[in-house]
Amino acid sequence: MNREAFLLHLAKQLGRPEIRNPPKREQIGAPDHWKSFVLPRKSERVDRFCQEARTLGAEVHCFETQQQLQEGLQALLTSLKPQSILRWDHTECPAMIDSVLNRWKSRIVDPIADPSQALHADVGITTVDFAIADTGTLVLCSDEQKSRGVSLFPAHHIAIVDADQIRTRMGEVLAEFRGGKPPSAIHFITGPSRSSDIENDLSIGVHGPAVLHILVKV
Amino acid sequence: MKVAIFITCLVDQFFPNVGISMVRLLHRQGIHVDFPTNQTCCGQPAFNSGYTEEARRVARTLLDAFEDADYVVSPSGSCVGMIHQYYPYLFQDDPENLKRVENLIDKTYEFSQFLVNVLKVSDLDATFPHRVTYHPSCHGSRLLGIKQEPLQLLKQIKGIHLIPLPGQEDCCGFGGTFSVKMSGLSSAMVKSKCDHILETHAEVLVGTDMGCLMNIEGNLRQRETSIRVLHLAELLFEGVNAHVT
Amino acid sequence: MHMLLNTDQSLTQRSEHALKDSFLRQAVQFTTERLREKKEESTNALGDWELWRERGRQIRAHTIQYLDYYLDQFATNVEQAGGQVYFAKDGVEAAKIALEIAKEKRAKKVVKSKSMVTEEVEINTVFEKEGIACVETDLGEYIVQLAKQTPSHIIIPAIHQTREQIAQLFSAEQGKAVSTDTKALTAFARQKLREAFAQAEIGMTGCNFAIAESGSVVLFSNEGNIRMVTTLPKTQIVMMGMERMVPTWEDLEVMANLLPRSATGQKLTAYMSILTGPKRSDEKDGPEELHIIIVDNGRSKQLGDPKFQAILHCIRCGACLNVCPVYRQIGGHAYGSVYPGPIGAVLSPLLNPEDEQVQELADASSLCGACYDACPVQIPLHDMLVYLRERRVKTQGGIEKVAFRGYSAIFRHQATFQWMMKTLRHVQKWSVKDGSRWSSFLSRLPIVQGWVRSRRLPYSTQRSFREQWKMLQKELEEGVDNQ
Repeated sequence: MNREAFLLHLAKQLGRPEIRNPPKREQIGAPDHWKSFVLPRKSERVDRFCQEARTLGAEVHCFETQQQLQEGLQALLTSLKPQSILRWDHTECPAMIDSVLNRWKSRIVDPIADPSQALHADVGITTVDFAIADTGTLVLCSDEQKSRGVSLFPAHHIAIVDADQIRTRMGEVLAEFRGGKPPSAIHFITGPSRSSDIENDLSIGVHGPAVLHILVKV
Repeated sequence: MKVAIFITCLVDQFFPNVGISMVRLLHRQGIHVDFPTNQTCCGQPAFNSGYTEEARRVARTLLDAFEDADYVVSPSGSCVGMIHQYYPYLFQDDPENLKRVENLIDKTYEFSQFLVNVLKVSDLDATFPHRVTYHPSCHGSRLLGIKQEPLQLLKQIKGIHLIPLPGQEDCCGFGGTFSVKMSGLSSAMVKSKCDHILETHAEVLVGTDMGCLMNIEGNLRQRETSIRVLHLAELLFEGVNAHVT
Repeated sequence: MHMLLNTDQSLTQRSEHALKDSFLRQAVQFTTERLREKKEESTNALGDWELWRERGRQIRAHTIQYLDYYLDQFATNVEQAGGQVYFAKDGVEAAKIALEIAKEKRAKKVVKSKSMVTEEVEINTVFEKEGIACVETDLGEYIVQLAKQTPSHIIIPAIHQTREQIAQLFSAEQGKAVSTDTKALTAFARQKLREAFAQAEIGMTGCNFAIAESGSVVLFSNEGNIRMVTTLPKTQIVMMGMERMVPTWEDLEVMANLLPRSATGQKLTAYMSILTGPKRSDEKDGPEELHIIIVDNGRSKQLGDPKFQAILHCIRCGACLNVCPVYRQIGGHAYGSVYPGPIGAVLSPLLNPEDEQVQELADASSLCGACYDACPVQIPLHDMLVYLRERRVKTQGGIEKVAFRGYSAIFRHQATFQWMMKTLRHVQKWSVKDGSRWSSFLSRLPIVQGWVRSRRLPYSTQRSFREQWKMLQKELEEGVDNQ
């Protein structure tokens, strides 16, 4: 059925002619009190974010300096002993982690050259675009350097968050994308992959990562 | 204050004690109680089964019966809910009667609602030293929003031991014609309800709707349990009386 | 459209059958109880749930009232982002469009994420007839597919399967024994489905919400299968009911607050993906093509109908199932339609008005109103059930109609009512002995048979209230109280 006929039929059912101009609205988005909900201090946002993410089973570590964070990442990788690593090509990301990854260079997988290995990688390392304190959520946008699979295929996802990226609630993040052309994919990630489909028994890491490590630079 | 009671067909025919208890309690509050005898039924059995026209004809008896009352009080949240929620729909194409409906809605209350919200009764000076569990009926609590009122009345009774009913908000499976039309389902539901009631080891089950209580009592009797089933009005009146004698 | 599973059985027969399945009943009660508790916790934690519900209703009502405008805006924006949009008037057309895309891509395998609308159009059957394999990738849906069944819950499709049954299914699939341990079962599915994700030419999803102002599709999942479906295959097909729209990104915040809380009691699901168009040309992964099929399939009949338009507000959270005392007794399959529970009892008859057998689903409710209480967008399902019954009896005769005509004739006048009741009282005297026994004549009446299955008959030895009124009144006037 073509679009015009389909839409005309709906208008007819609604008992009016087709509408060309945006309909007037009284209520848009969340209730007012929620829209004004902001945790004013950065430390509050960090605390809430860490608390929420931990509740959902994420491993959260906070670091005071860039160097400490790099050391933390180093220690984490040492303990995980990954055979294969995926990482974003995003310029900020290598800058921060390349020195750490030197030791693991041979284990970095090129997803285009070896898609099957990418699908079974041990570790994926990304930064984030935003984080949400209220729900302990990471927000990752895709682009030419930030592929979707890095935060999805591996058993462990390591996400590096800067405290300045943490917003109070989802609405603040959504507002960033209004007006312009949004990225092809925005993923809101809240805790590790989970399912309760087998007799209500919680299982972690069904299709996505079983462990979510979040390294926060405070 | 002139209060007309809407007795409901079920209480009228099968549970007159509920009505008598309610009338006596209202009388004790200094209220002049009237019973317009031309009332029959709210029409809900027909309405819920889809027979709107049949329901409308019966509903008119209430419009006539309560034309002159200041207040209408009834021992059933379900029947009062029918008036509040569905009479405007029944009479939507009948402007004259629609006005009478609005008038009726404004003055019609379920029994516990009337005692607590209109008469502002806080203490009936009743004593009832028994283990009691309370089943909130669906229509009273959901259609009319009566959630706290019966509990407020129960909590002021001296000596009462109120035991929360597990899964209390679950329907007992009555649903009028549903209980016979889908009798397998209805039976499963009433059994679950009674399992929960027996779990509480209460001596008395109290409620605010005789449809539900008749259904529940029917199953409890079949199980040959001795738990008493009382309407809130009966329990309160018994409590008030116990104190007097 | 064919939506009934057991057309040879009536609703009563199907529910009697389910009532005998004690594992099913226990599993359903356990799961729904858990979901209900979690929902209550997470909505209570908000403190102002009713405010959110009301806002949810407002947004949905507005969107549906101007659905043609928002669909037009959405379609334009999808095309601008590089996607293609199709409109299908019914399930047959929707399946045909999807099939044509698959054939053009020479697809042999399609990976799917959970989608109720694809169940509606029976897309798996359509594809498989053409030799295209459809693999369900949601763990629960995968189990149900291997068992050759249909989902019994909107959110937890395999609610009715034991872990032993699941292990058997997986073992058969694997050709060797898989343990009944949840971890082992999950690991098997992860491994097996990764192969399918890598092979499939097409990824097919439903759509939780579609944002008109940007042409975006929003998908919620906990397992991450939806992300796999929308990352690996070269072509993505989205099939969506036409009512999935929200106008703006701001409105999405409300829906993202209502849906996970109502469905599983989570503040947010593990993944929420907002997808706009196919991957950009320089991106390394994501689908190269995006096809969005917008399906009517009976929905537009509800538009403009004051009694039923609000059914299109539904956000498919399943909260009404979890609180429904009927669903909790019999589970989903007894409804015999794609949509079970209270939403199914209303939606299925509405989407299939010509199918008489589906209409009886409106009887699968005691009208307790728990569904309305639980609905995050305040759809008055309990009222709609009554309106459906009203619609149905208009065209039906039968003994019930005669009975209610009789009721109306008797109850409309106090005098006939009283006469009838007196007569019945006499009947009761000789037919019902103390409430525990009844005469063989009476027990032959179907209405009595239904009641006495689990209950004794009410029995009154007293005179009616109205017969006692005069005396009571006199007593009160004379001031003799309480005794």
